[in-house]
Amino acid sequence: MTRLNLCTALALLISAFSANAQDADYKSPPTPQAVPGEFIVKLRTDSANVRSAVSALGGEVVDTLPSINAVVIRAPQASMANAAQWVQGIRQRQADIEYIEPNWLQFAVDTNPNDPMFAQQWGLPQIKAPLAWDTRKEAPTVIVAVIDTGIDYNHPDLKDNMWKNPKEIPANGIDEDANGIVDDVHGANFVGATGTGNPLDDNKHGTHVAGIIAAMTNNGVGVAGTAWKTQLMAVKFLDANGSGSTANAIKAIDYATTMGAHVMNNSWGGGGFSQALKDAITAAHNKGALFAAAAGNSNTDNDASPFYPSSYDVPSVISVMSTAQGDVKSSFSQWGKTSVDLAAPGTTILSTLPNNQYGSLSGTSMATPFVSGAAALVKAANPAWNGEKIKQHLMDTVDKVPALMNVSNGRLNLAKAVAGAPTAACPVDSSLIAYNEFFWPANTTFSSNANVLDVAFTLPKSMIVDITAHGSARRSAGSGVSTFITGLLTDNAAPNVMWTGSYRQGTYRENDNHETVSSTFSLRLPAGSHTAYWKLWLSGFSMQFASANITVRAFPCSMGGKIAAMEDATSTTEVEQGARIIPSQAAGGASLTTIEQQMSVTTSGKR
Amino acid sequence: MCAAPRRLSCRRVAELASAAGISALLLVVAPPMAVSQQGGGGVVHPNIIPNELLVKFAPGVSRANAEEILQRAGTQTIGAPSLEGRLFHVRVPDANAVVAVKTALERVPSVEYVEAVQTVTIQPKN
Repeated sequence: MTRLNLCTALALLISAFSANAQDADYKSPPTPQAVPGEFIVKLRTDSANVRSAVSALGGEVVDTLPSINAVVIRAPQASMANAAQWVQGIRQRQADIEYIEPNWLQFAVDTNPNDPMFAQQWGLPQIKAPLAWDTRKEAPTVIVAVIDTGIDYNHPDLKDNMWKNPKEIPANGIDEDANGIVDDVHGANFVGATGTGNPLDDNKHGTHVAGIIAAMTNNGVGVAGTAWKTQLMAVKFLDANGSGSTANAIKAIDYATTMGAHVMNNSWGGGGFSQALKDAITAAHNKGALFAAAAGNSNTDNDASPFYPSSYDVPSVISVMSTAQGDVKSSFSQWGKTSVDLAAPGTTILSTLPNNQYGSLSGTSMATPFVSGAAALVKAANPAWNGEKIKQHLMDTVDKVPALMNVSNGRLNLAKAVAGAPTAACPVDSSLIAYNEFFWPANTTFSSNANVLDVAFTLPKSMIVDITAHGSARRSAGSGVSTFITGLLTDNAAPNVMWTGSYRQGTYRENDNHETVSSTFSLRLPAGSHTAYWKLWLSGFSMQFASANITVRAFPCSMGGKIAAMEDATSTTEVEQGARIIPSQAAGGASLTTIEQQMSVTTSGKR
Repeated sequence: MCAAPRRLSCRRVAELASAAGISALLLVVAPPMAVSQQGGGGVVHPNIIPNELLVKFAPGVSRANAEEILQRAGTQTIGAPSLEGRLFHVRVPDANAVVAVKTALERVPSVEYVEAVQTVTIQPKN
């Protein structure tokens, strides 16, 4: 924790407490936040005098930090609103104090890179990449073949992450490694009749895909990649129009297999079944590679009508569909409850383009490289794992997003994937699962900003929590295009400051259109009591919820340890409620409706 | 009457058939098929590249032997073989000969399968 000058710290604290956030503030990254009323007191001697002073002023010592000879103190409830003034009283009573500082909430578990366009890359927080990067962000020994239109290997945000063939000397006209391709330094090009060593992208697609997988990250330039560092092998078989043949695809896959690619990204497809293409993929599988393939963009069911190569029944083929903001299926994306393995963001994805450019593209083409980047990080953590094992692990660690349950296995969660394999050694702490829901015979209507639901929980120590909100709603009154946002926030920090990455946006175009409304994210929270609020922002129309629930699951494992899959929870404490609506006044004068719950606790089995 | 296309003489078809241990008669009576319009599930796909085939040989067939069979069938190889030297990408110069060539090659015992070459595309939405 950064040591701060007391005055500065208190000024920040007072500022945080007095934040009177408007709606716009909900989407802002949190300003420095502290545990309300708590301070860390660094002592010059022992703690006896400080304990006495704290007690005399109605507070308590809630923890000790012997390694730095400090204690954590908490102001009395009555002084919470003026905690800064209260702690000044401690300071004035004691000369044994070296310094006092707020007990800052630690959000540093989210590793946010300094790439200037990172804030526009909604897909990375969606898959919990910042949380994952605290555990693992680089896969320098892993080779990811981008089997595509090539890569602009001179792009400033890609060039240092390009694979370099260790056996080839550039531009000397000699095939040193005798693989039939001369000067294949960064990969190969199979568009023509014979392969060449220049896979430069003459479209833009492959360069865009490459940036999603592993744009150079935290370099102060452009965008961030899913993996900050890996080896991108450019294997071009699609021409300047983005078209190619199964024959050349096979040559490209064969090259990637021969040259040792661990992961193959395949953001292409079409045509019918090809035994030869399946044989090439099987050969890659036999060498231990993962074959990530796009599910296609025709908004059809791959269970009913297969889409190749993503539909090949090879154990290491992982089929990827696309999601849009809000954790919902992209309108164009093909799906398949059994044949599509997982989902990843694919709508309006910002990444690299040739000639030092950046831009957004949409498609399952863009979803697939998130999975390839994730696979690279998993492979780096588990070098002995083959493609089939990596695939299974990625599927085991998805977020079971309700809106995707009928179209795939779930949405990629990079944080869980890199944290480790699900293991009974560290299951979800079922005693700390908090759950709340409503499903009323009479539907509940909100006509202005509201707290849909909330759930309180207490953590005995700093823990990782998954928070999920889900509901079914329709626009019951309004006109034109209506936009709503749902999000999750806590009352434990500065009021109305949203947890990073938690807001979701949706749009209604007509009344009576039903929408699945959801938010989900993971973060580490400190010890203590918390309340997760599911908040709804809307203006000029009414939303009627048929059902809604909010769930908090706590993981006792430390970062770098093992996080269990949600399914490992064996019991759930459910909170049933009767509820009444209490109108109140929100910050900034907006009307706010709060649901106050009268709860009774029951216990149910596995959900 | 010989049903072989112009660029593939009846003699060459017969030679090929002979090498494969089958009679030219069988080739003649074999019904013409849409070479390429069928995927593994029998689904018709329009995105076939005309005049090109993929030919996979059984394990143990030498490259020289495979290339000889392909040449005698009237095809031209495109690039080097893949899949450990067993899969050949070939061009059939005369589009009218594709059906006959495919049928003939499929009857060569050392040929594991013959299939059409299809077009695939990138999968961005925009």
